[in-house]
Amino acid sequence: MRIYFRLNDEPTEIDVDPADLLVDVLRLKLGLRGARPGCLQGQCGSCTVLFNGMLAATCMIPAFRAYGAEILTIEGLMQRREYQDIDRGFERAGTRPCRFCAAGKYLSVHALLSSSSDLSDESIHDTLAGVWCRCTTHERLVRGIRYAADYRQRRRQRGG
Amino acid sequence: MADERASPESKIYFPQSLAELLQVHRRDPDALIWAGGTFILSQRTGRFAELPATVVSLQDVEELERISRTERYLELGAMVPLRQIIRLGPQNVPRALYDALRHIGPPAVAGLATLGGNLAVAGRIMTAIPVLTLLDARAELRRQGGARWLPVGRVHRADGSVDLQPYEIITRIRVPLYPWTAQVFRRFGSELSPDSDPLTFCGLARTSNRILEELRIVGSAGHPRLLRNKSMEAELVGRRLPLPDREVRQAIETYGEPGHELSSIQRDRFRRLARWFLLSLR
Repeated sequence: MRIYFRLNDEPTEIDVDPADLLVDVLRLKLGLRGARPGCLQGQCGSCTVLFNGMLAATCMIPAFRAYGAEILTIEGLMQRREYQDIDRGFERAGTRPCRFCAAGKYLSVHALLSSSSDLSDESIHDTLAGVWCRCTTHERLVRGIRYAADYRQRRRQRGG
Repeated sequence: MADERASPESKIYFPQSLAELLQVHRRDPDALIWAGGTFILSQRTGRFAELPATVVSLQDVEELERISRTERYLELGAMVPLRQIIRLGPQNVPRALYDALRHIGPPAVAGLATLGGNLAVAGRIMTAIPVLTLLDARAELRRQGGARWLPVGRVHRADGSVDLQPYEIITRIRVPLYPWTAQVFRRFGSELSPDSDPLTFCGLARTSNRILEELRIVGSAGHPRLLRNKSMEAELVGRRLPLPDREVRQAIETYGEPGHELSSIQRDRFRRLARWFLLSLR
């Protein structure tokens, strides 16, 4: 089956078996290895992408569902200025996600900062609950998210 | 006509409107209707989706993704991702439902899962159903040439099957917006792993001038029969608050009798939560 979708802002078309998991299509057919298969039950966050603007576990998406979708992977986010805000925020907080959870953490924070200005403990907790990996401490991550929000706001005020 | 993309293994239909969807479903009633697909994929055994010969994907049916709100109702299309409903916030979604949706999987699952999908799982009562039942929510079931509204509490029959007539599809859920004074939702374990002694608890109450005007309490252990005692609720309505501990203890003893198939852990948790909820009413 041939599917068409937008991947990291680029129109993409590819032949897939509709039953393949999107995480495998991204990694094995498109060479995007940032989304990693972990629990394969949508719980651990390591295979996260933004799917039509929503956080989504690619191990819970069959390939046919990607038809017409808009997908942003960690590789696509890295090309954007928003990534630098998050990266600087994490760095300032003294934390750096490992390769297993980077997709989940960066994209979750990006989704949080893009969807609302609500940085309550509840919304941050909800965001981090979707990524199981504890290679970084919770407190530093929370601090990193608040720094990232600050960097993003300052950049926007400068018109960047 | 619906966009149809064939593959060697499965035929996938992508209807572009509700009218097309109903037409395709009538033509091929045995096709698997694919909403968010999260429950189906959670049951798979291999590293691929186990698809039947024909699948109808609802992803392009714009009518199923609508959200509307009036003073009296919140209407949610069956294909609206749970995450999108959560984003409406507790100021627009009844608090108990908002909390229930936040408990259905992590954000990366809630971005895919849908309320229609939650209702359509046969054999299990998923997290949102007890809450929607207490809120008097109704589901619209459509087929070509007709529609009917069914209380969410009656979408599942006693044997756990879904009460869909031939060619019917769940299209939207209407949730009444009623001014509850107290709304509580709690969940333990997961319906997907029965070994975790899953329990969903929801309590709703309306009070005025320290009088209990309306009370609803429900529990679910995941099986089709909900844990609810309407006569106990009716008995407590009209009482002065706070309720005396002795009366509360007597009331909750009526829950979890043998017919409800609860484990001792589930029964104990439910009774503790019900007691706490009733004693907290002011």
